[in-house]
Amino acid sequence: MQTIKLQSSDNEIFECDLAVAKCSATIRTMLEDLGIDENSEDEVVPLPNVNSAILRKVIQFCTYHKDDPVPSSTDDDENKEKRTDDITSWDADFLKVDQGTLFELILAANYLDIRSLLDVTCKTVANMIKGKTPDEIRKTFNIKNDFTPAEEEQVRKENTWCEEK
Amino acid sequence: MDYNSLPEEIYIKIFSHISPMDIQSLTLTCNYFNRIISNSMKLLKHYEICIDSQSINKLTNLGDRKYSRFKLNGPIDNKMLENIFEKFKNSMQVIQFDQMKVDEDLLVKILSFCDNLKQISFSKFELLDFETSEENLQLPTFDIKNFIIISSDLTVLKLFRSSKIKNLYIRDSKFSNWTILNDITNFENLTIFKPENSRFVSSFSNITIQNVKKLRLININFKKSLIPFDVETLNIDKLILEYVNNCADFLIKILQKDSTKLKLLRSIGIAYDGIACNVVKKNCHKVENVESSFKIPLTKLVAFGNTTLLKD
Repeated sequence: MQTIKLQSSDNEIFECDLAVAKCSATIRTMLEDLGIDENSEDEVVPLPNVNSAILRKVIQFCTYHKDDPVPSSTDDDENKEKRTDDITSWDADFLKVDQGTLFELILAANYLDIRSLLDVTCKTVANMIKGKTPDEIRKTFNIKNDFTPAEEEQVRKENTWCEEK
Repeated sequence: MDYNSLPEEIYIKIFSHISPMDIQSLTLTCNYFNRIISNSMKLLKHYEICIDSQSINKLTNLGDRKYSRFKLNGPIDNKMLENIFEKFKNSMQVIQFDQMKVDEDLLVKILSFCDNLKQISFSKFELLDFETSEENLQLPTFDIKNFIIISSDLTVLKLFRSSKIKNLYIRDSKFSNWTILNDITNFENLTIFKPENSRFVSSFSNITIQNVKKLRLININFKKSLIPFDVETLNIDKLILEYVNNCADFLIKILQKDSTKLKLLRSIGIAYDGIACNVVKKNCHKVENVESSFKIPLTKLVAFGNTTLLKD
C-alpha cells in the first residue's frame, strides 16, 4: 500500500494511506499539479493550516470514508431543501467534540477541500441552531449581543417583511 | 476557537440548512450574522417581499437586504414603483405583478433596472398607453426562465420581443390577441391552459411558433376545422394534449408531416374519431414515446370503434 507523509502546522509528521490523503482535493491538486513526487520516500506534504490534533481527526474521518462514492456536484442545487437529519451514527459519534474542535474541523475541511467532512460538520452546526430563539443561539455559540437597541429594532422591522414563500 | 473565526462563506453554507423562520432568529443574534444574511441572495431567496396598499406604508422599514422575490399588488404609486426597482435592481430575480395597471413606458423603465430577471408573472395585469410610439421604447433583453401570464391581456408580451424565454405559461387569458405569439420568436416551451371563458376559440389559427420545442395545451376548445398552429414551421419534439377539443386535425397534420421531429406525444382525455385514429395509428411509429391515459398505446385505440374517447 502506498503511503504519503503529511506535516501538521506544529510539525508532526503523519504517514497515511495515499488513497486516504487523496480524499482532500487540496492534497490531490498539490500532488498532481505541483509535481510532488508520490513515490519519493522523503517527500512530505506540509499543511500549515492544520494542527496535529485536527489532522489526526481528519485522517480518521477520511480513513473511514475513503471508499465512499464521490457525491455528485449538483448537490448544491438552489431549490433543494437541504436535509440535516441524514448524518450517519458513525459521523455523529465522530463529531461528538467540543465546539472549538468542531469549528477547527470545519476550517480544516474547507482548507483541505474535503466535501463530505465539510458537509457533515456544517450540518452539525446547523442542527445546533435549529428551533432556537436568538438568545438561545447566542448562548449556544457564546455570541455577544452587539446590537444597539436601535439596531435591534431595525432588524425586527426588516424581519416583518419576511414572508415565507 | 470562537464563532467569529469562521468565514462568511462557511456560515452561508451552514445557514443554507436552516429554515426561513430560524434565519429570522439568526438575524437577531448579532451584527455579524445579520450582515451575512442581509448580503446573501441565496439565504434570502425563501422570502417574498409583498408590496401592496397596506405594506407600502412601512416601506421605509425595508432595509438593504438582497431580496430576490417580489410580489407587487396594485395599485402602487408610479414613483414608489420606480424606487423599489431601483433599490433592488441587483437582486431582483422573481417579480410578480398582481392586479396592476402600469404604463408601458414605466414598465419598460423599471424592468430595465433588473439585470438578473429569472421569472416574471403578470396576473390580472393591464398595460396602459400601448399606442405610444413603439420605436422610442428601448426594449429590455432578458434571459427569462419562466414567463407567466394569468388572466391578462397578452399585449405585455410585446415588450419582451428581444428577450429569450424558456417557459411561457399562459392561463385563463383572453384569446383576442393571440397573433402576438407570431412576433415573439424566442421561446422554447409553451403551455396554454384554459383560455378565458371560451366555449370555443375562433381566432386561434395558424399561429407560428417555430422555435417552440415543447407544446402543452390543456383544457381548450378549438374551433372545428381550424388548425391552431402553423404545422409547416412547427419544430416541436414534445406535444402534450390534455382535454383539448377538436385537435385531431392538428395532430394528424403533425404526424403526417415528413419532417416531424416529434419524440413524445402525450394525449389525455382526447376524443378521436375513426379517421383520426387510423392516421394516428399509421403514423405514430414515427414518435418514440407515445403515452395516453389508461396507458393504452394509441396504436390500439382503433379497437375501440368509431369514436374513441379517452378520459381519466
